[in-house]
Amino acid sequence: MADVTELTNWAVDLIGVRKRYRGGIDALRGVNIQVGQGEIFGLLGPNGAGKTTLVKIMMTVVRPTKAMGTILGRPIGNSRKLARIGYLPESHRFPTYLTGSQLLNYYAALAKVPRRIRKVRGGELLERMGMSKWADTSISKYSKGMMQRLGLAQALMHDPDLIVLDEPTDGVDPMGRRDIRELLLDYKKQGKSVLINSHLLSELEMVCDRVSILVGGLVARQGTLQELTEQSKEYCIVVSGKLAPLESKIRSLGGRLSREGVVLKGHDPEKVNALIDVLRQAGLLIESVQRRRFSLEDVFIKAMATATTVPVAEPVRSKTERL
Amino acid sequence: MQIWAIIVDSFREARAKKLFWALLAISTLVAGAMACVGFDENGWSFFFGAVKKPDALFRSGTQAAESIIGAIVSSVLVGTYIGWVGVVICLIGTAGMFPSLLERGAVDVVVSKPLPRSLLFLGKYTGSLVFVLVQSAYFVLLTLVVLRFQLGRWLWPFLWAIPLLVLSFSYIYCVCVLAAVCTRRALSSLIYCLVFWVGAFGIAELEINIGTQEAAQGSSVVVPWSERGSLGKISYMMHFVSPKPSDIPIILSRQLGAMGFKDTAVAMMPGDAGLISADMIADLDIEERRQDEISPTFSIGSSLAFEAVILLIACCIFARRDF
Repeated sequence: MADVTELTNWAVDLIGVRKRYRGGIDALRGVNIQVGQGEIFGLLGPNGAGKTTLVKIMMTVVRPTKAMGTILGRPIGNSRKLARIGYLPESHRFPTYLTGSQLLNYYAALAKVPRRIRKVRGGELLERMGMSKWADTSISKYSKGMMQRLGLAQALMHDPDLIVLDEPTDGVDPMGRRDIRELLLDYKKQGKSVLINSHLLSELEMVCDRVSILVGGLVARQGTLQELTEQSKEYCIVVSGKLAPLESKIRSLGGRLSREGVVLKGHDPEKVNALIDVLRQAGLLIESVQRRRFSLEDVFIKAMATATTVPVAEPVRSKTERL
Repeated sequence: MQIWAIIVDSFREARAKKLFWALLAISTLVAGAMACVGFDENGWSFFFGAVKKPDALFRSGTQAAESIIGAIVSSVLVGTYIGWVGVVICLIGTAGMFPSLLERGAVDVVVSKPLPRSLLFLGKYTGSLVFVLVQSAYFVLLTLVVLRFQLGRWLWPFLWAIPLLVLSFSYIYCVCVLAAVCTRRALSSLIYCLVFWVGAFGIAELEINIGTQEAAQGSSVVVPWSERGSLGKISYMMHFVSPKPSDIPIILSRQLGAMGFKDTAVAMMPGDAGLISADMIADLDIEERRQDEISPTFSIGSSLAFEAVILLIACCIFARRDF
């Protein structure tokens, strides 16, 4: 009979992850995150929000103070499951005495990839990363972008089901970023899950299905990009003339005054037409009506400002707990 | 597969350092210098026969000539080079191995691979020993060939120098590893282990001074436990638990002596009463008898027990640490 934990649909299902470092610093204060199978998930947050700590806990680099949940159906910290997870850490340092192909071979050997597969896959990945001609060159001669591509290749050497990337496009040129995006989308098509921790919101916006915004060691916002930006849809009506006398009427219709003009939350055409009628009846000239939707960056900045500390995901009962 | 990959990587790391080649060059120089001194049928021969000094006593095939070579082997090769110079150089060469493994960005990748941290630790430790094994094997084999030409026969017991040098190195290196796991710094771990080494020699000297007595032939020169004062008992206990690197040259010399290869100090001094006082001869006799009482099983066994305890502590720290 299959293990109950194997039947979950989540590639990553973390509940109440806490980490208190020596000195009483709380890096994580009960984080709940779920990453679906075949999903690209983005992890956002300001510096010190606990993103890297969370990723390191997933990869057993850091021990959690308390953590429940599963990764690929197994409890957090299960070392055997690491064979199915690819990881690219932030600010990685690879041994400079190795060549590119030697490095891939070494890390793949640590990931228990058989020798003959290592050779073939190493060549394929270097080709995919556009680094074939550098395969036998010492890493000490690589640029930062090349290092990053090589790091990504080592994370993919054992054909993982879950790929955890910490700032994967750091130092990579625009062409390289596009290549990495395409690569991740390819992996998604193959049903593999990807968790990306990045500061580059525009990059995440292009590839992520869902994102989570961490602030102060807690999940401030979590959901699909549509869910997160849905709440930030609005109309902005730019008018010429004095709006102050109409403020109470505008408010009664759900609008508010701003420096640009009148702002109406949501995308309800009837409401905006009613508001336009009021403005025109008052003799104001409508200059423009803009239908706006906030970008992920806007959502991120707003989440930072409000610093919501209530986790969005309800804790789910789990059979596993690690102290 | 994994442990082999770690060992190979450790060796690559060592090979990439200039010190690796410098140490091979020093070994070649020492063996070359030794080869410069020889004997022919007329007397001394220097620089492969370029300079000759006729001598009736020291000629090839004589006991006196063999004793001179024995003195060089005993004091220069065994006592100095294998006893401490080689160990110091190997410590310098390997002190950076664990700190480089534990560097931020480097350790993240390896500990996130599906292998237990204890295995990673042991693999890296073994890799360091392989470095020393290669160095000592090169030096000893080279010297063995030189001795073959000087003595006209193979001095096979000299091969014991290979494992004994590795053993002597490992007694001290374990402390270096413990310090590296705690501090992550190559220099400080090297300093800690050198200080410890001096301490181990100090303890051995203390035990020689306090725990050795003049005794009739056939009886033990080691002061029995019941006749020891407080300091004597403390000295014995400290010597009992601490590693005994100073015993290694004695054990090796004993192996060489077992093949009828006598060094000059033992073979010639007693008969040279005109130069050496009776007290000094008595002291040498006590020292020789004390050395004869050293049990290789106890010396190596207790040192390895110490090493195992230190490695266990270091491994536990490594396995439980956040990176």
